[in-house]
Amino acid sequence: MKRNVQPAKPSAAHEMMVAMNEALLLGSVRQHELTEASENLNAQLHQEIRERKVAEETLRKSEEALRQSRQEIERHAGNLEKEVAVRTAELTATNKQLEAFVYSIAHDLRAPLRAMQGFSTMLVEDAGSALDETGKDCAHRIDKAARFMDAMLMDLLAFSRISQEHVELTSVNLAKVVESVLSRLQPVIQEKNARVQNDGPWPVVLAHEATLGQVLFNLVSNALKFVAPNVPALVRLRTEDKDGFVRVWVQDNGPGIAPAHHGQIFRLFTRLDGEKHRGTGVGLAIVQKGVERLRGRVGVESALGQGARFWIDLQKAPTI
Amino acid sequence: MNCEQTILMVDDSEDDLLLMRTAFDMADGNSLLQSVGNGEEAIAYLGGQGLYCDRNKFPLPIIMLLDLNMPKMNGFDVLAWVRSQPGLKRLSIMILSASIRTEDVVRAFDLGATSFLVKPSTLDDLAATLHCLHDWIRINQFPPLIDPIRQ
Repeated sequence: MKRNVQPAKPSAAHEMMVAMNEALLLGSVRQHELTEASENLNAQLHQEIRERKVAEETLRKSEEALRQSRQEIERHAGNLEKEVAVRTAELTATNKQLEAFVYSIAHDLRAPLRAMQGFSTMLVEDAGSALDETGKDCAHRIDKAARFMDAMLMDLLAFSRISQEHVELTSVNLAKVVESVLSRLQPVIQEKNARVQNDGPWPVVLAHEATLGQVLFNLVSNALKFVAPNVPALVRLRTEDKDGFVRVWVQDNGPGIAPAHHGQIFRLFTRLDGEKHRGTGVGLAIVQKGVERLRGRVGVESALGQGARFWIDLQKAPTI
Repeated sequence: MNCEQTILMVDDSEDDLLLMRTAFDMADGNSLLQSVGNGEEAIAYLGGQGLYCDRNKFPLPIIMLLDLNMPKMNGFDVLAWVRSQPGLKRLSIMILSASIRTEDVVRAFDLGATSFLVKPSTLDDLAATLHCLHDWIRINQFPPLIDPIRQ
């Protein structure tokens, strides 16, 4: 055998085969890498899917919990509404009962008072000759006491009515109300020789006419009652614009009220004057309650020896 | 004295009846005051039943002063009854009540009351009210009534 065998030149086919082998190898490595990569990706995706499923489950559970909470709240709200309705009905019924109670008490108590007043008067007129001065004085005191108690009952009825009555606020001609109050008080004004200064101006207010009338009547009536000694009563009525309200001033020239008592005087059955002026002690309580129903305010400026200046703030009527 | 001017007062309170009689005398009007103490007797009086058939003693009134607050048959019942009687329905009926409740006033007028007066708390005021009443009687035109006795 010849030794001179030249090493075979790699044939093209061989080269191609090697190349192919390499490529295949590479490919296989690649494929392996790809497979590994895709397996990794798969694993990752599966993980993400698992995580997402967990998240969705958590979300679903939260939503379910939220829904249940909302239902619970609605159930509670429903119960609360029912309870409020029941309580409101009870309160309305109680209020009505209270009104009927106050009314019938006052009504029934006034009947014996008529008898006391009438018969004590008749005692003096018909049997006066049989009575001495003491006897007549007794009869007179019975008469006065009966009248006073009747006045208290009437005021209590007015107070109860103002507290209970349905009050609707509408435009009210203030000038008209003042005129009506002054005309009702004419007999007192004349008897006391009082001077009433009506300065106005009198705008239209948002109020309830009857309640406003009662309030102003009580204030002016008080002003006529509380006068300095030996001086004729001077009552001044005027208004001013105050913080968007209509402030009505009722001024008197009476003995005045010490600042310490300014709060007390509006309370039921509180009198500062004792026997002298014989008020029922309900007048200013009616004023305060009335002003409250009119959604206004009331107050007083005064000091001893300076007369008293009562004010009430009323809502302005809306301008069209 | 004019027999036509009889005023019939219906009230269950003896005190109020006595005070009214006294005020009547004080007011010195031209009328005769008759009184009954409950609703059933008022109807008997107007109907001329029992002892009320004697119209010389118990003439038909031109005005009935009617209290509201009476037991069994109250003022509203009496009012409704009178307004249902063909011969009597035009009788002038003045409620004379201690009540000042709006719903009572409304109900009285709805049932056909002629007027609504509140019982005054003093004798003098009662006499003054009667003075007004007598003035009103003088100027008012009263419709004729048909006495149930004659039917």
